[in-house]
Amino acid sequence: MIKITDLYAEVDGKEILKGVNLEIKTGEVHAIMGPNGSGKSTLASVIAGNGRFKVTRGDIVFDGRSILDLPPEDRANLGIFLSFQYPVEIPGVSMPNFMKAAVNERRKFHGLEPVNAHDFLKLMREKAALVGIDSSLINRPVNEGFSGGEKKRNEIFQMAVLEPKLAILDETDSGLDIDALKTVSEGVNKLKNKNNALMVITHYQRLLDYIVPDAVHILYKGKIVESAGRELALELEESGYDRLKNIEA
Amino acid sequence: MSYGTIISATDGNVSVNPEKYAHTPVECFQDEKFGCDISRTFKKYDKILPVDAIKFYTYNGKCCDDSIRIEDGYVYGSLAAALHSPEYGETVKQYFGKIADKNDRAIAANFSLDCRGVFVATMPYCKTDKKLMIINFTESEQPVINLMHNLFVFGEESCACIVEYCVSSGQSPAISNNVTETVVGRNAKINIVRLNEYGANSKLIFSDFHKQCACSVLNHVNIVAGGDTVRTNTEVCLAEKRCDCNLYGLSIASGKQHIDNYTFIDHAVSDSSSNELYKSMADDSATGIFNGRILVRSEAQKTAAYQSSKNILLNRNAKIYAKPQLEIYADDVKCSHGATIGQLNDDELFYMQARGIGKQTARQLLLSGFANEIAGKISDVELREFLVSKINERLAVNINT
Repeated sequence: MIKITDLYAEVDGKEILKGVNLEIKTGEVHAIMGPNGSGKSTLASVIAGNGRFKVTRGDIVFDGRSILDLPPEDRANLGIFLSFQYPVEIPGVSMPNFMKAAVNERRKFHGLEPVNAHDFLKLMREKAALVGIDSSLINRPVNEGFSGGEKKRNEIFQMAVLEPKLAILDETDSGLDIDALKTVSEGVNKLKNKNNALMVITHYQRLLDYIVPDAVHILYKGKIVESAGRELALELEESGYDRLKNIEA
Repeated sequence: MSYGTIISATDGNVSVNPEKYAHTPVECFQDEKFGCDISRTFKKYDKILPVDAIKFYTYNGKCCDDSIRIEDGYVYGSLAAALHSPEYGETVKQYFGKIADKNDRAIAANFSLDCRGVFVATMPYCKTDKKLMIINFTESEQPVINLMHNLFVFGEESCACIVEYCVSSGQSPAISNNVTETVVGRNAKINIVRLNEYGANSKLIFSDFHKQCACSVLNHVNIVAGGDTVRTNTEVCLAEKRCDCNLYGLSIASGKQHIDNYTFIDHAVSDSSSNELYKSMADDSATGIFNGRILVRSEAQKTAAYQSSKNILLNRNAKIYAKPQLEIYADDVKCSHGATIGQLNDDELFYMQARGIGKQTARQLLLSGFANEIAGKISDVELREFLVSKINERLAVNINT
């Protein structure tokens, strides 16, 4: 589904990604772990197309085509979804307006007519029930005054509405208490099927108890330095990232 | 409306005595372009304006009807007719020119002519859900000058909502210098909304003077979407205790527009609160100005006064000047004031793009969200939706394109 080869990226002249190679196939769940500052969020932002980051080398191929020259909205409409680590608050823009714009822009991208009001409301209600988000939240301005947990839940709600092929969860577990972590994970698991894929970025293996990965990668100093099965996350939990100190990136 | 309009209908001070004019055809003084018989245009607006309200029209600064009507709790009509009516003459004399600050040059100019304008009153204890919409229509096939003087007197414990909708056609220069004086009676709850959509040929000064009596609530919404050079003065005197005053403003400036909003809230006595939010956006080489002054006099203990000015610059060549001012002479008060000037937030834009929303649409949504916080202050759903649609229309036409 997505193939990243020899990816180099920088922000404000500082090189963050230094040759990332990663392939995620349809139906798979991959976890990206690594210490602070290793480039995990940068990788997520670069895939989503955040203009702050400049790709200097390498390529990202999604569904058989390079997406590096595409603006973020086209990448999203092709089926890439980024669940933000810090979802922004957008006062004045209501969730229904925001989601309606997102749904309709996607439909337009695929040559479809805009969704009618009735179907849209039905979609919002169904997906809210699916991910267990309070319906009062989805009528408020986007993320405004939401708690940390509510924001993360709202990200998963948006994911449910947009049904992406590839969802990148950037530290969706940070700021969540155990109960919230569980409900958010359950939401994600309900959305997972054999036709889509997940890239889960996390510091802790706790989340991976709920969202079980097919592969775990360690990103360190801008490179993937270790890849293995689920057991790698458990090992890391035991040993910490100290083991990486000997690795020269 | 069809008979001798110029002489009799609007000025009111002069009337046509049918006997004296028996052999002179007064009809010839009626000019369709200048006079008031443009009912066809108004009928069009009646249909276009999707707001269920009593509608009252003024044409080039003159009332199109010189009678006084009573409907759904409102007494309304031309100020001249009110002045000469036995029931409301005293009210007009009591308040006319008493609330406005005549030291201001523009206002003095307004007073130099006869009083032509709109009179509105609500009866004490009369609570109406119905809105009164005053449509100020300016047609400038030729250069025109409008000098209107409106007087709104809201009775004790009354509730009312007045919407002033300013719209124009024609390309010749049009100048308006309008003054509105408002008295809000004890315990009255009043909403006043002005939507200014005058054309780019218009130079405007709108001056509003409000006096609030004890325990009254005034919500004033001032939306400037049109005009070339626009100055609004909004002054409120919280003359008695426990008043609540909310001033909301929005200006949308593009091209070479210049929109200057001045507000002044005078906390003259104790125990009142005021809350002010003015927003503006400037695109192209437009200029937006907010100059807001709050005065808390030494007698005005236990005052709560909050003022905020938020502004967005959309172009390198656009300018915003914000000057929030707070003058406090009492020591037991809660007050704050502040101003922000910024640009559209890149993180918000990226967030929307990451959901598949194109940059242009994302910008429109953000601007609409920014602007419609002001429309959101209006609790009447129908009126709010009308304003939202008008604001979005304005944003779509030539902001951010």
